[in-house]
Amino acid sequence: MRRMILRRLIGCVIQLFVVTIAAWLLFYVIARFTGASPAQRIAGKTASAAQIALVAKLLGLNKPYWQQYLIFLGHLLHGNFGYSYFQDRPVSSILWPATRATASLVLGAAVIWIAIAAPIGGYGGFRPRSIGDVLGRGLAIFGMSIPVFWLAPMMSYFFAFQPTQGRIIGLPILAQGTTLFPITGYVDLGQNPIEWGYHLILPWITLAIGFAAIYIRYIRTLTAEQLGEDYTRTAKAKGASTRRILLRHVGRNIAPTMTVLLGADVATALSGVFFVETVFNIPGLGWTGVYAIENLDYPVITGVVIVCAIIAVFANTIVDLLHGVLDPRVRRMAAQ
Amino acid sequence: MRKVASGRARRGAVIGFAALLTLSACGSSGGGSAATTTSAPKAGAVSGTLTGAMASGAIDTLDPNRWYFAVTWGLANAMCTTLIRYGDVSGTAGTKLVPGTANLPTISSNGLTYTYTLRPGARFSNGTPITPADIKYTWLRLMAPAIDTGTGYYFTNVIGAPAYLAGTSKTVAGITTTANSITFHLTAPDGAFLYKTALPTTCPVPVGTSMKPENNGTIEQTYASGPFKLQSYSPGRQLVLAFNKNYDQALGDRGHVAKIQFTIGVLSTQATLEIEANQLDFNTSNLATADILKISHDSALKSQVYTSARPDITYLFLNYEVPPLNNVDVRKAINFAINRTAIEAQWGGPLAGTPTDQIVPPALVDYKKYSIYPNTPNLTEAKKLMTESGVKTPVSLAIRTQSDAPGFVAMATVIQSDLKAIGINLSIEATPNSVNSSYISNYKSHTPMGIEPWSADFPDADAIINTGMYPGTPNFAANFSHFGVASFVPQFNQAAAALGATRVKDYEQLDYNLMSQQAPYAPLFNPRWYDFVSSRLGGYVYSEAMDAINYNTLYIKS
Repeated sequence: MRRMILRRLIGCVIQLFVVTIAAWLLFYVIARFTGASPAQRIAGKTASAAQIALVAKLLGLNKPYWQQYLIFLGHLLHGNFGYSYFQDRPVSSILWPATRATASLVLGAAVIWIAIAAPIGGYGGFRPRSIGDVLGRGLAIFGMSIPVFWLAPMMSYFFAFQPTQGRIIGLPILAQGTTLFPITGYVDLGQNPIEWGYHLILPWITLAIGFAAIYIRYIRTLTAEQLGEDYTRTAKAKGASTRRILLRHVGRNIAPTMTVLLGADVATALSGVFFVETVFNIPGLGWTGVYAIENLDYPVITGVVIVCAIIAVFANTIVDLLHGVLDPRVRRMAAQ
Repeated sequence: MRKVASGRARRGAVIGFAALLTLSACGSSGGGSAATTTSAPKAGAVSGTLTGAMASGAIDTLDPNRWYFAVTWGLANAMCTTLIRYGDVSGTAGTKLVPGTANLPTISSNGLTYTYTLRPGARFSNGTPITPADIKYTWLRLMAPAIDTGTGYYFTNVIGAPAYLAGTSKTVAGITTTANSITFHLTAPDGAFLYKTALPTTCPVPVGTSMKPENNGTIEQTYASGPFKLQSYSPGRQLVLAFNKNYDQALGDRGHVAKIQFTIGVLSTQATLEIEANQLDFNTSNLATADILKISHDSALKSQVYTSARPDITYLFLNYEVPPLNNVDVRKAINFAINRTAIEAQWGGPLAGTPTDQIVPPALVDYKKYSIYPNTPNLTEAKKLMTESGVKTPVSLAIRTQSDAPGFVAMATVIQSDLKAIGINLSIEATPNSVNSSYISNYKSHTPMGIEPWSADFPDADAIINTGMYPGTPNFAANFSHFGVASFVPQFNQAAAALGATRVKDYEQLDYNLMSQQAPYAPLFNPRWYDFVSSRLGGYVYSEAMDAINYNTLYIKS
């Protein structure tokens, strides 16, 4: 197990090193060939060549590429992502709150999607082709068909805006001026935990619906497969209760697969929640990245890419290690 | 030429004629109560907090000598009192200059000397009086190469300014001060000089302010000179303006709320919902066309919608340095071949703007209607001109535009289809505005043509014609057409130096001559501005000079 952890951690460092080179090349070198010029952007459209050169010098963009990369890497090794061109403050002070906001959104949504998917998917696998299963599958197809960029404004419109007009989902059953949820906005957890949860309820549900739909199908299929295995039939023959079969036997066997899927999906969601963040005005990583792209703020863009990569790499590493803990076959393979 | 923030762009939509009539009836100053209604607060009365929203990226910088985006110029109007300023009224009347920290200047008979005498109540928000030395320092700071974001260029005709702007001199000899006045000595008469001394980048700062950019608003927290000061700014999240207790109302009765709190990063459509739910008072982004339609059909909300003409033009520049666009017949043929009505429809249709074939927008005083090129294609004339040009078709060219604001790629697609009919095959190169704007500003990139929105820095044709196509500087960053026809230089100089009615006439003629003889642009349309505000907000004024809401007149209805 120790060897497995060590091997995984070394792989993790190599992956991150490759990502930093790729991110730096992409934004500091390749982007320049598209005509993007942060110095020109900062100096203004009517700036002279001398003014643009001066801004480039101030930003350190006049140095040879290899020098720029070494400076960038040196800073990075000290946990310093550099200084934002546009916000005039350390990139880390921008990224840390953004990471917290995105993590709040994604982890909360993950709890919701598992809470929805586990009973529905489990029931579908246990009672295939029953009414409940058909409804569950229908719900899954419906959930997967709704694009987030449409769902987010609709959730905001029907559950946050309409109540203020005395309606909900078009039904005039509320008092005029009712506020069920805020239309937009975000409050940091450290600032006010209750307001934090209140502002995130709609974004959580919005993000969770699509993933819940996918997980209903995963869990249904895995449960049905496990119920067909010899060990469950044996357990049944020995008189084990349904609850015991599902939780102790089936649940334990599908847990490793679900953990791997969950790790990968949480990592994907962390860097792909831009639409939800935009509609609900949550200053997360996607939101911050797009804001930086609008201003050619390379240190922030690169920082966002690297943070997303770190999250993805660590999430997968943790999942792999957990997989090893949950599944003895993985541990055995690693030992060999 | 200010950035028209992407949040202001809107999607094309089918526009109902009824909606058009409804909104047209609102007139240029809108459907709600104007600032001059009887419910306006008493002079000096200040109470309550207003809430506003702005798009992400709407603030470029909060350095008072660097800001350049339309939203930050709106904030500048609240936090600064420039030497002279614009009146706090809607429409063209709001482009009239009034005294600011100084009285209206005395101008020498030869038009080469402008003397501004400071008014007694002029002081910073920390209570320190604003002195002529501070004003001179402000000019030195705004023109310093490390600070200047483009407006320093407007003062090149002040004696000694070119050397200072180039960084080869440490002062500007043409700016002199006395105990209570400041004088600008020019090398040549400049009919727009008054407007230039009202630019938001001339916002006063005290002597000794750092010559490095202070983008996060530290200066305006202590040294604001308008009715509001910056209370706090969290980049990308929130900005709060607080009433400036040291503002002397003798400089103008401005500022009627204790605070204005902006949330940054709100989508325009979401902001509209929040305003309708009375959770927000106003939005600094223009309304989406779908929202304009929805609100205009709701009689209960119609009174909260305001519409105004903007000093803006969206145009297609045609680069003289790229064949066959160096051929005047080809440029004219393009102007005859494009379907301006269809292009404008991609922007939002009749509610969102009006097709035009002129350079100067109707919102400027130098505008006089003429018609050289049609709104719908005249292919017979266009093909005739292509034949006369002697250019062998088909030719292939690129058209550049921004990809991250709605409507631009769709407009490029219409132009692509229109020009194919006269043998010009276009490839569309769309990139985010941040990339596109820096690419086309670089004259070495040889961009054949591109779609650009343009907002005048001050309400005078000089801000569009001279800045965008002065033929003496064909490689100037904003001269995207690289227009350099030397025979036009005297006409440009004459118009720029003229005053009053002569100036208006000169620019009208110059606009006509440029389009009829040279066609360096294919003008497309003049966009309109829409605002939707909460029912409790009073005193709405759209500042045509700033291309933004005037926060100084807003109040909360009792």
